[in-house]
Amino acid sequence: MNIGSIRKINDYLFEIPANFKPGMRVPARIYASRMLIDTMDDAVLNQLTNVCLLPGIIKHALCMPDGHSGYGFPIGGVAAIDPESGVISPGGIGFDINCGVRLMTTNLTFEEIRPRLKTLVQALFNRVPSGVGSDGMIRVTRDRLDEATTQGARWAVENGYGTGTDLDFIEEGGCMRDADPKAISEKARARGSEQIGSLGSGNHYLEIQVAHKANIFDPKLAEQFGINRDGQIVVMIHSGSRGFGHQIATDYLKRFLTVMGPKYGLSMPDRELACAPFSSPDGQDYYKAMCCAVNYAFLNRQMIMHLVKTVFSELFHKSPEDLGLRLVYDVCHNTAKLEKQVIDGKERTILIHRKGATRAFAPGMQGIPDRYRSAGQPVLIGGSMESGSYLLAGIESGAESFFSTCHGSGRVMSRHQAKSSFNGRELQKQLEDRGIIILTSSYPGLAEEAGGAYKNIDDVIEATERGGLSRVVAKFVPIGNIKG
Amino acid sequence: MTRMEYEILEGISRADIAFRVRGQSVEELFSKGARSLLGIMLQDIDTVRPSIDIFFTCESREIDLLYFDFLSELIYYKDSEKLILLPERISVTSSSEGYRIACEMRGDRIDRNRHVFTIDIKAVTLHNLIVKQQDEGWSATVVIDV
Repeated sequence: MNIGSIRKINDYLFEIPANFKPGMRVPARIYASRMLIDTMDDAVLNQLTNVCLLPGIIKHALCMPDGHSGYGFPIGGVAAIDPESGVISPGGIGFDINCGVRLMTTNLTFEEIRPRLKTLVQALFNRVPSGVGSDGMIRVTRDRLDEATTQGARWAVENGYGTGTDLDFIEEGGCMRDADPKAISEKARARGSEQIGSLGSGNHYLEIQVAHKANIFDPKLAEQFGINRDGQIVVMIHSGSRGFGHQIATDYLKRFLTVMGPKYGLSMPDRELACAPFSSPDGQDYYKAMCCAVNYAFLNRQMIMHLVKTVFSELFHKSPEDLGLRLVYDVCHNTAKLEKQVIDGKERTILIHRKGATRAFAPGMQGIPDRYRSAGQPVLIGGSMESGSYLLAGIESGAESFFSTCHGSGRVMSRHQAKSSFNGRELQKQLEDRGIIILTSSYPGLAEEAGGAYKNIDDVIEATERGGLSRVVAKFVPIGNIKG
Repeated sequence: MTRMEYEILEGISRADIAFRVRGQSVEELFSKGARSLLGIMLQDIDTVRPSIDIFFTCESREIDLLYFDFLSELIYYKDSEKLILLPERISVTSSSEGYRIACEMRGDRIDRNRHVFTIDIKAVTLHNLIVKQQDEGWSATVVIDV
């Protein structure tokens, strides 16, 4: 990225002044090392400064250390908006609403699982629906879908997928209460009704990982989150709201584009930043519909985790309880939420857009499960299938970033470049030689997700911690992966 | 598929895919856009058998938003009915109200034994969406979310 106009605040925080572009209401800030900024493409700068034009934006638009260009907001973009005077923008959330990650512990160790690893990965691949055109675990009627997207993960639990205690360990308890299916189109229902309980494709995955003792950086917090033995096996699930969320975003993007000028007198330089006042009927309709998609993703991940538990249970001939299969936490990446935060010494409600960014509440904050209240919110950072993933925790200094942090590695190569640089089948073989078993329904898709297409996750995490966004608890290394 | 009916554009979006198509006529531009969606998603577009016909229309005040609607409709069919569709007949008309496309699409229900997907397309974005008429015909630039 051309950094001529960027002011360094400290080694891990840079600012683009509000006079960078006409109409900017606030400056933009990038949390990253100088080295990471060099890996960001120039489009990030343009997209991030466009976010500063949004009516109602508070203090500054932010880019997280894993930031890269997307559409509308950059991926890794965060904006706090005043819900009374400001707007909501689908381009600040993304099409894959509540794309997110959950982490489940086991009491198995790497040594115990190693002889059966291939069988386990194959069984998970056979059972967990993934890839384009796969059927979800269940098919629901229109009414049942409306019920499901109103209730979120609770609906999954009430229908036999998991236990009530799981709900305590999901952001928002697994349900956005403002969800209202009246704001949903028939097209969204049609796209969503057959995909419930499916992983999807692209960068979505289900991964078996190991917590080696050498990678536990904060043993006390790790213990509190349930990471308590050397070589412990954990499972990470990365998926979203599938076609249901994609259609909701498509519907409202078009609607906002139609109304933003004539009805609200708004204009943005990128139509992907189409927006409407949050308090307007259009803004409220989108928010309610988006909440339905957030709930869809919560229940989707809940159902996938339940199936994973079943597969483990069958293979190891033990109950999920005896195997220590427990949800650590479930985080959202692509959302807009109303949160109460202290801004410049005053508590106020903000409409926080996070696109490819994770909420990271500090110790003691409302919204963290009791079990973790003193530790801070667990933050789950999915790395590439080669490099590893991280467990972090929210900290007080996160207030500066509206308690937001990174979400993954961030791409350094476009998908096209990655496909030209890597071969899916060769990659699978190379990784198997390194002890990582990968099964996929798309080898070209696998090549696009090669570790070399992403930033070094260790660099991203270092910038995340040193930038004061979150605290590092543990790193997990992959040993098995199902790619959609 | 005629090779390289679309051109991948780098530097617009690292996370997603930007592509450009060109056509002698506006109908060809829409037709190539539809073929490009499948060309990006599928390893081999020739595996799509012409077994199911779908007719639909879209209307929009702007030609680029008509393009957005048309491509979005194809993504909708892919998820809701598992149909992957290629253009058979396309007609684009304009009036004082804007533009209208009427199309006959022909294709296949997704069969994971026959159709190898490279990537799924989640949505068409409005980011840098450009549809324009030039001296030598029409061109469209589209960013898709994958």
